[in-house]
Amino acid sequence: MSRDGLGEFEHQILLAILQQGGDSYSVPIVIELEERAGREVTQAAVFIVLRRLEAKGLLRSRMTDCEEGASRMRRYFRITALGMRRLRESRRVLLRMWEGVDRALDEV
Amino acid sequence: MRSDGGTGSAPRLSAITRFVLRLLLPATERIALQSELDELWEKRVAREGETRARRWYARQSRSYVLRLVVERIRVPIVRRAGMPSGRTQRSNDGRVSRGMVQEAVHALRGWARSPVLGSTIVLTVGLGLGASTAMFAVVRAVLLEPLPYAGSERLVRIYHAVGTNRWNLSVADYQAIEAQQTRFDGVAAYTSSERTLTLDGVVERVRVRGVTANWFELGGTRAVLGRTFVASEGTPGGPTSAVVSHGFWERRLGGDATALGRTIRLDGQDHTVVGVLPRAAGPLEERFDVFPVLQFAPPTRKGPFGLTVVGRVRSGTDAAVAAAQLRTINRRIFPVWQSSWQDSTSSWGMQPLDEFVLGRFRTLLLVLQGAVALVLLVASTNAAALLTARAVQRRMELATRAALGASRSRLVRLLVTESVVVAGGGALLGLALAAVIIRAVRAAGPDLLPRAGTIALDGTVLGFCALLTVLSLVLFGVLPALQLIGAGSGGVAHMLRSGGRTMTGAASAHGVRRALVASQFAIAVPLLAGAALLLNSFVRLQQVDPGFDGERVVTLRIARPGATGGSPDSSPFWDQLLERVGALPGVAGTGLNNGRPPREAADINNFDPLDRPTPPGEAEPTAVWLVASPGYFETLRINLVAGRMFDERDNAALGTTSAVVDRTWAERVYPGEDPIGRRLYEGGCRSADCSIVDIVGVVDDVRYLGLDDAQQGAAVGTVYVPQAQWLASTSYLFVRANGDPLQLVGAIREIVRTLDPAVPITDVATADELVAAALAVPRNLTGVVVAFALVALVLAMIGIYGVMSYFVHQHRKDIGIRLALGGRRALVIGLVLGRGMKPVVAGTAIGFAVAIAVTPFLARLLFDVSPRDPATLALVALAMMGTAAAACWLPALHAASVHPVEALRTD
Repeated sequence: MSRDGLGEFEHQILLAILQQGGDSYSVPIVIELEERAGREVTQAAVFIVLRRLEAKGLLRSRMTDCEEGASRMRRYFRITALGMRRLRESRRVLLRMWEGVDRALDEV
Repeated sequence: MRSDGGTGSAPRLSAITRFVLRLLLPATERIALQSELDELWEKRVAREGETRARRWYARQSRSYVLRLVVERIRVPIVRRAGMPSGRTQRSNDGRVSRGMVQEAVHALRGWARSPVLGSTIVLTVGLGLGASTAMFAVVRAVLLEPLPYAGSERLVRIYHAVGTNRWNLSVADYQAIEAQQTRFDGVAAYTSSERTLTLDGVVERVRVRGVTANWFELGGTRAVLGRTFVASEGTPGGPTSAVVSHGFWERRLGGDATALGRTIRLDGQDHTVVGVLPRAAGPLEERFDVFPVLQFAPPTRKGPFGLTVVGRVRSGTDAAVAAAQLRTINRRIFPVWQSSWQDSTSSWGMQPLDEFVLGRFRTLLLVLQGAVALVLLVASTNAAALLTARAVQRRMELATRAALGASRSRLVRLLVTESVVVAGGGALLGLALAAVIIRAVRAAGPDLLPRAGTIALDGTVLGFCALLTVLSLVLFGVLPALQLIGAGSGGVAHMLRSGGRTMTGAASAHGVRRALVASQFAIAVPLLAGAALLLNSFVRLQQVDPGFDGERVVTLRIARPGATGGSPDSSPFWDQLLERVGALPGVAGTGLNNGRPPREAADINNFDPLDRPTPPGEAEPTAVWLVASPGYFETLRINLVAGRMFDERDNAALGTTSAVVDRTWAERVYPGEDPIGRRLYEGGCRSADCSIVDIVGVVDDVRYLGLDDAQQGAAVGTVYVPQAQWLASTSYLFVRANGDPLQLVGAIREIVRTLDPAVPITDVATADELVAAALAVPRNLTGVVVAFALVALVLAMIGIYGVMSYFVHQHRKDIGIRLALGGRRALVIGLVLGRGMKPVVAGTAIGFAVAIAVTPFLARLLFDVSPRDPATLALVALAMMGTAAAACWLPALHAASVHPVEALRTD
């Protein structure tokens, strides 16, 4: 757990949204995570973490009807300014931590 | 894209998931969630095919339940601890509660990964908890709560001790006690009967308890409407008042105040309603509809003994002193009634009222309570064994956690939390089960169990359930945790190095499991022994010959209101009834008897043979005394052994009464002699103007006092007197049919209605149903105990199977080496079996010692089987060993089929 309070999965989800252009909903996020992390991710887990991140003010959401019919709806999430700041901070910290150890790892 | 069979429509979320979603999410949120899930489903089908996608969907569905519930619990707790949702702060409080929550979440996830293990424990512990909780609720309400009467701890039933029997008292007895006693606050009495009620033109049978005028006052029972009795109503010639039950008042009297003062007719006698009892009546009132006041004319003789007498010992008076005074009064009045009662050895005694009312349920309920407690114990022990095994299997995972910095206490907490989660599930299931059982018992009402209506799932019962849950949790939750501490002694590094299979730790865990399996057998054996004894007893009870052929026989109870025995208009009614029913097509035989086998003896009467009078000072013998018509014996195919049956000769009302006795009576009263032609006094009468009974025939035995022998001691046999000479106002009609006897009931009703519309028909039952009803209590008790015993047996088998499978798995290599070196497979099987049977034999031996100590408590429930019946107990031992050997056999076979090379190649 990093100091800014971002859990690993929370972190991954923020990054997945960023990969999608900073504005996305659960389906592409699940697929993104499964492809990049190489393991099955349940929609429920994503759903709950998205709500949690929204409660922390790192995401903002809106409901949209999608084109296929009124009964189909999606909740789109967009990363807030606070969310972006957190990501930047955490990236900076991590990169500093990795400095000089990449090669050591390769040699093991 | 929809090539491989198409996607079809998306599967639906499971009912429970939909329920949870509806509970926790607003509608729009749910719709969005569902649409997005459907979208994922379509992509999943396109990528992996429908079969795999369906499995994926089911996982998604389960995952929603778990995560939403956990999130729901987590968020408020985290908020209350003063933190924003999520992982941002570390206040000390917050960490503790969040740690707990995280552990609970983790535990739930863990169980979701091994659902079979988790649900086995929840189910078995839940069954034990539920049954134990329900039985506790029953025992508390029925046995432990004081009777709802004033000064109930000082209330006693006063009885007439004749030999080992406890008879009721007579009017003469009661009046003597009432007039002469000084050691009681008061004495009161009641009788019980069924009578024909006529009200608003409707005729029905009602349950009537006649009570003395002071009855309700003695018990402290107040009327909710009107009043109870006053003294003047208890004197002969006083107003014939009646109090009615709350249920009767609502059902038949309109349930309002106009009920007071109304007249109801019982067996032709009018009574005025003066009061209504409260809805929650005591156990002595709860099964009755009407309580007419008893008025006693001065008695002319000592008997008959039809009054149940209850007294309240004065506060501060020793019970022994009160009992001594009863015996003194009994001696004092003995000379007064000597002409009709000569037994000077008999006396009066008293017993606590609760023992009298509830005594026969005590053994039954305590046996059931014991059985369910054993089930809970076996279930908890089984859970302990399963969780210990799981802790060993997870050693690698735990070692990794320890290596990553988790403290030992934290790991222990993790394991305990897992147990808490399972115990909580068991408790919830148990409470639901207990609620169902309690509702069923309450619905069955006071006919099943006195005070059934007061059984409730209240705070005390909930507390008991919580206590049991904690105890069972300590039993199965703490052991695996202790196991872990023991395993940690070698150090984390050691655990990691050995790949989670440190031999020392595994060996000690294996020892613990073997001890647990031994305990399971030790607990299961007494339960199985009890079940086997009850089953054996029940089988014997079933084989008891009731003495009659009940095939295609139907019986109906017919009561003539107002017609008392011997009234001149009675005879034609019964004669015509027999004649017309006999003429119905499909009827093979008809008969009357005022008793009904196998459990209804109309009367037990004392008698005295003229040629061998009872010595002075001794009690006269007693016999079941029945009034039967000639056709009765033929209809039930009861064989004549000697002499003749009743016939026309018995019709005339002569000075003597003919009688047919049964074989047992003949053998006991006239052993080795011919009883035909012998003559008897009956009913304690022995003066010149008493009627004399002539024995004309002997028939085979029929049971009237139940199929077991519990009550047979009350009578030396059975005496039948003819319907023509002893007119009974109430009788059972027995009809044998050529086809289905129940088809005749409509026609019989019609005949009775034409003969006398005021006569109700009740208690229609085939003779086979009567026998089945006599077996109902032992059947149900046996069924429940056997079911519990089988649960315990299956759990014990799961236990030993699990231990031996694990043993074989751990020792694959050794077994492989043995086989590679030329060891015979039979030897390997023997080795595994021998090792497995050790804890079984030890546990069974301990269980037997316990069983032999406790089975005597069953004695009162057993028929024709000794509570330590060696054959039954030996059979239980063999069955235990046999099934245990079978449970070890599979792992043993598995061991023998180990391929040496493969076993050596793995790790």
